[in-house]
Amino acid sequence: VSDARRPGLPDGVRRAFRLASGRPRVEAEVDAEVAFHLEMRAAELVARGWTTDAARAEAVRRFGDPHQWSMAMSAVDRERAAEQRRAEWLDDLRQDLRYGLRSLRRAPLFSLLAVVTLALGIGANAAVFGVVKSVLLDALPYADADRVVRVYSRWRDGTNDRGPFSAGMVQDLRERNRSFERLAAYEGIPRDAVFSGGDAPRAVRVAWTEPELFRTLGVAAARGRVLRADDAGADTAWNVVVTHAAWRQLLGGDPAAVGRRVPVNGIPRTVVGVLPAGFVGPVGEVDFYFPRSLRGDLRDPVRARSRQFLGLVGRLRPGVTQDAGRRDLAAIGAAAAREHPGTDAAFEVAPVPIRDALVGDTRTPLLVLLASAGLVLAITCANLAGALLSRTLTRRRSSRCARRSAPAGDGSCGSSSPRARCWPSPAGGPGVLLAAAGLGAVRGLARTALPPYADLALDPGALLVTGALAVAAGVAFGLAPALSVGRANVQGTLRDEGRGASEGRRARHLRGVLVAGQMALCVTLLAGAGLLARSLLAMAAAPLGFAPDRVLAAAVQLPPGRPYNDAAARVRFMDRLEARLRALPGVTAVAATGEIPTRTLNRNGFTVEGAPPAPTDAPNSALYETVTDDYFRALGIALRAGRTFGPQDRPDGPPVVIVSEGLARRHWPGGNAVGGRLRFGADAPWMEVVGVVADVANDPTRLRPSRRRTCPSVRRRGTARSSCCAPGGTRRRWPARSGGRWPRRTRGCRSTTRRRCGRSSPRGWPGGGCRCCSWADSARWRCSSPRWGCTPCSPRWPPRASESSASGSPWAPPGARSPGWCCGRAGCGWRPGWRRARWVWCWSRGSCAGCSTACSRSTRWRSASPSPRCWRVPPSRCWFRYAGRRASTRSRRCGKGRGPVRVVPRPHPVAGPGPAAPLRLAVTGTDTGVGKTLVTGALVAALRARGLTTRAMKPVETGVAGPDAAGAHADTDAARLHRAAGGESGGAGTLADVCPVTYAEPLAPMVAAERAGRPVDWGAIEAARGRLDAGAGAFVVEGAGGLLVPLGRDPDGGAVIDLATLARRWALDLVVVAADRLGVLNHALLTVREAERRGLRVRAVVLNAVRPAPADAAEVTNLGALRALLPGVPVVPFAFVAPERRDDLAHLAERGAPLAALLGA
Amino acid sequence: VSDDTLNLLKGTLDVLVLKALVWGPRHGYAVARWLEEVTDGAFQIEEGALYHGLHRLERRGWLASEWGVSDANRRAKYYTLTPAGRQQLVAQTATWTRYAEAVFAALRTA
Repeated sequence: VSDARRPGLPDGVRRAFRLASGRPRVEAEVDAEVAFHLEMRAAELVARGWTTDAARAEAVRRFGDPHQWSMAMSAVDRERAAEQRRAEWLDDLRQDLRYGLRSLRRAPLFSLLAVVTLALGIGANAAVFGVVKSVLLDALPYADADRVVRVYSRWRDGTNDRGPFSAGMVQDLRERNRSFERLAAYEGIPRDAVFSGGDAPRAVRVAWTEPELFRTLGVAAARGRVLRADDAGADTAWNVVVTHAAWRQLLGGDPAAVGRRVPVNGIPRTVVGVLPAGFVGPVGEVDFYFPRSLRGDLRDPVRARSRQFLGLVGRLRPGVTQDAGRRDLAAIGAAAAREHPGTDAAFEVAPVPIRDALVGDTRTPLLVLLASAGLVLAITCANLAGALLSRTLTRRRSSRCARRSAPAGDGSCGSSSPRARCWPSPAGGPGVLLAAAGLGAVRGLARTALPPYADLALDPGALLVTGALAVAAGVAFGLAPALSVGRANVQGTLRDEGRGASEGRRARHLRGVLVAGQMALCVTLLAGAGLLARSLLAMAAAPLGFAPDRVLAAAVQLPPGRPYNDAAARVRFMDRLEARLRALPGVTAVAATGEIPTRTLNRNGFTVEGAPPAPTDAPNSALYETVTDDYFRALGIALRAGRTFGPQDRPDGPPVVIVSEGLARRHWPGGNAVGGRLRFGADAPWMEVVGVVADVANDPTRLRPSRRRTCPSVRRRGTARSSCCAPGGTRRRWPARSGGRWPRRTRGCRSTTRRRCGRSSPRGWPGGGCRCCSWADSARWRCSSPRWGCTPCSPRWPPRASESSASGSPWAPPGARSPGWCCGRAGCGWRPGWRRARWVWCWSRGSCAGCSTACSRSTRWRSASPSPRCWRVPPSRCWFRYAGRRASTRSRRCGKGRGPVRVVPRPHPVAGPGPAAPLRLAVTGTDTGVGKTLVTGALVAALRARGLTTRAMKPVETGVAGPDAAGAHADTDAARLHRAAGGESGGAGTLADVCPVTYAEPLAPMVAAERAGRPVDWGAIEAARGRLDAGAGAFVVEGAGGLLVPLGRDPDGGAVIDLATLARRWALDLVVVAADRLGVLNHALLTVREAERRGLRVRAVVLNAVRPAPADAAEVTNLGALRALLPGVPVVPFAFVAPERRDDLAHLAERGAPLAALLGA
Repeated sequence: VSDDTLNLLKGTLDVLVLKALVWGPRHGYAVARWLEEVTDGAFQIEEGALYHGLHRLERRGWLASEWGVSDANRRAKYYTLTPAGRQQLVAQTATWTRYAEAVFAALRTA
């Protein structure tokens, strides 16, 4: 068997996947086959007297083009191999599935564990990937989203990376940039408004934007149109567009919504367009987009620079990189900072790709989440691989003990691999469900954290990933055990068992790797989880500055215009509202504010009375909010000094403010801010600080309180605003480790760390190291689990080593043939063409099923049955399945151009002999007494006369009375031939060679032999032929009687041998001698036809005249008739030879000359 | 030679090859020799076509092959008739006989 192997794959992998190990390559097989044929054919031709070269050429010629045919055969074989592989694969799959299901049923708990574990891993991955895909990978709902950027002001003091711009700055950027096709500004914070087009007024959110926004983003309206520049011309927004969600909810999905007039804030506005469903604006979810122009903002140059409230998006010109855009804007920002140091020096201009802007800070957490989910899956796989391995080993060992005496072979099928392949299938379903559930959870939990465009559906992509994960998981954790199992061998097993040691080194190594990998992953994940938990704890523990528990928040939006168009009316409303809320049972405090903490956005610069002016590059600024009296009580914000707001603080009273502790500490000595004064802006009235409250965290994710930590103050109606804030809150420290060092190792553990694996272990634990805890199984493992002490580990772990290296078959029968096919023993029932057993019951892999005989390691055989119970199976269970498949349904190649079969002009069976090819003839007659010996003698004499070394032979002659005194038969055919060939002196051999076998009775030789009780001595005949034939230029054999006269039987008493057989065997061409008389046509035709049927080439028919002159019409016409009847065979007349001249060799030679010439000598 | 003839001949070759294996496993050379003998070389086919036919039939599941050792003690690929191949042979023989008889009868009367 060819050893051709596919390169590059380790044996273990090959075994694990049941790849053919020794399958010879198709081409090599075909080449060998063709070579065999050509050599055989050439040998045959050589035996018939061809020279080696000529024979070889002739063999190739007969074969056709060997290269081309080899290619054709290889193609067929490759297709066949592919079909076979497919069929086997399907078969394997089916068996695996069945087997897997059986395994699952057999060990329900283990299976449940596996399925649940895997489902968790897969589900988590699919869910996370679903999120990642929809957030990071899916296309944004903008045309050419790569070119869209969001532009922010990044404050140099680090307080705000994504700040707004002033109108003046926007104008500068728009006019001076060279990189952007267009820039569009919009109010960074949507305004609340009242929609009164429906049954009841509803609070809606309105974004005021430059009409350019939509073209900048590359969004077209789903209905109607988007805003145009002229929409923003008037002093209010008459034409508006509505988002898809608002169109559905507020306008009832009215198909005629475009053109409809809807009252917003009491003013009827015309809906000119409906935005598409997937549209996501830069300001989050709003209901209406109102057109806005910056012209009004630019009228007052001071306010144009100081009011920063505009968000900005831009579309880069085609071909301009983000980098170029960034540099361009940064330069403009720097110029603006020089020109307007008071307002524009504190920030720089920072464009951000729109996706980054939308994804925001969620990108990193998402990726971390994805990595974590991947780690979970990896751990899952490693865990299951470990469990599977130990399980496999356990089972192997038990089964081996049970079957020690059973015959079996060794093979290459890991019984664990199919199971492993099976798990993902049941785990995939729950995995998908879990993923769907997980996405649902994410949708609920993280809606606000994720960009609004994220469509968190379990889409086909995520499902595909799930499937791929399932498969990958199957391979991943099925591979290692399969490798280990497949690698185990008999000797190893026996040796291990004999020694009582537990497991092979490889298995140990593998498990070591698995455990190490698992540990590594676990540590990674746990560390990550720990850090996360720590951050969460820190966040939770970090003082918010207020008590959010049991606080309810509600948004109130008063419509503009009557009856709330003056402050007093609004105050009255709020008072009434507060009073009624306060009257509710269970309500302890009610307050109103602009924004509740953590969402405070207003910020302003301020000046402290008496303090030196702040440097221009770092002006004092603080977040501020306007609140009502009970605000601090309602939110539980602690009062540090002074008082909170009270009834005395009203618009008509002096303006007051409450500041945060941190801000007080920063700006007043000792934090004694009460009594101090500050003001916003240069010409604003001074406000007295009446109280100091605790710092309030505006951003709970920031552990360090920053300056923007605000504690709003202020009185109702916002005349008196107060600021607060301060940095420098408590910096949380991670609590110091107790004791400052790690716990001590348990005594005794360390000393055993380098012990060789458990040979000396009193308990016989396999592993290596720590005898105290029996944990490590290799010398590299240190006992590092002092916490658990040195109590012995569970006996189940690690598994005993004798369970590890199995597969071998101590009961493999002696003499089981290794690689190849089935054993072929009696009872095995295997035949070529049978393929694999459907169920191979004896489960030692690779053995033939029913007869329990090892079938060697052919990869086609494998065990399907894992149970130790089925080790003895009656032969009748040996079910083989026939491998014949249906003919391929694919259309066969049909004779286009050159078909696979060519009919070539018939050459002579022995084509034109080469110059050195000897003439080898058999002469037979149509009957006895037709002049066969005469013609043969003449032919021989003629050949000799032509200078050829001619030998004649008459293998068997009957009617020979017995040797005369001289030891020769003077008057036999043989003697005549001998003489014609030149006699002994002429090199014609002895008479005994010419005729080795004689019988006295004049019968057919076979009959004579039987009657004489002396079988024909074929050995003598062959020996004589060998002697005569060697070196002869012409070799003529005369038969006895006709062509089919039985000469004798085969030595084994079988077939009858006649001259045709001999001629075939000796590769002789035939000369048929026919007597020229009535009836010759029949006889000649019979002989010639039979000769040709037997594959002989008839070189000539000799029509021998038996009379000096024709005696009847037949003898006149025979020659012509024969020639007509035998068109392919030369018919040669042979004139009558007078009896007295029949020993005249010269005469005979002369008469035989035409025949000899015809025969090409 | 028209395509029909080629197809016909291909069918011929297939059935002949099947027939050649009816008595037991043979290698390709033996099949070729047998074919020469029994058909008396009536249509000598390129032997490559014969091998191609063997492989084709094997692909269709009518033959099975196995490497063995020839009489001359050489490695040779032996082909065996599968049961499907045997059925096919029976069926094709019947078809061919009917066909040949019909052709022959027609030609004889003409």
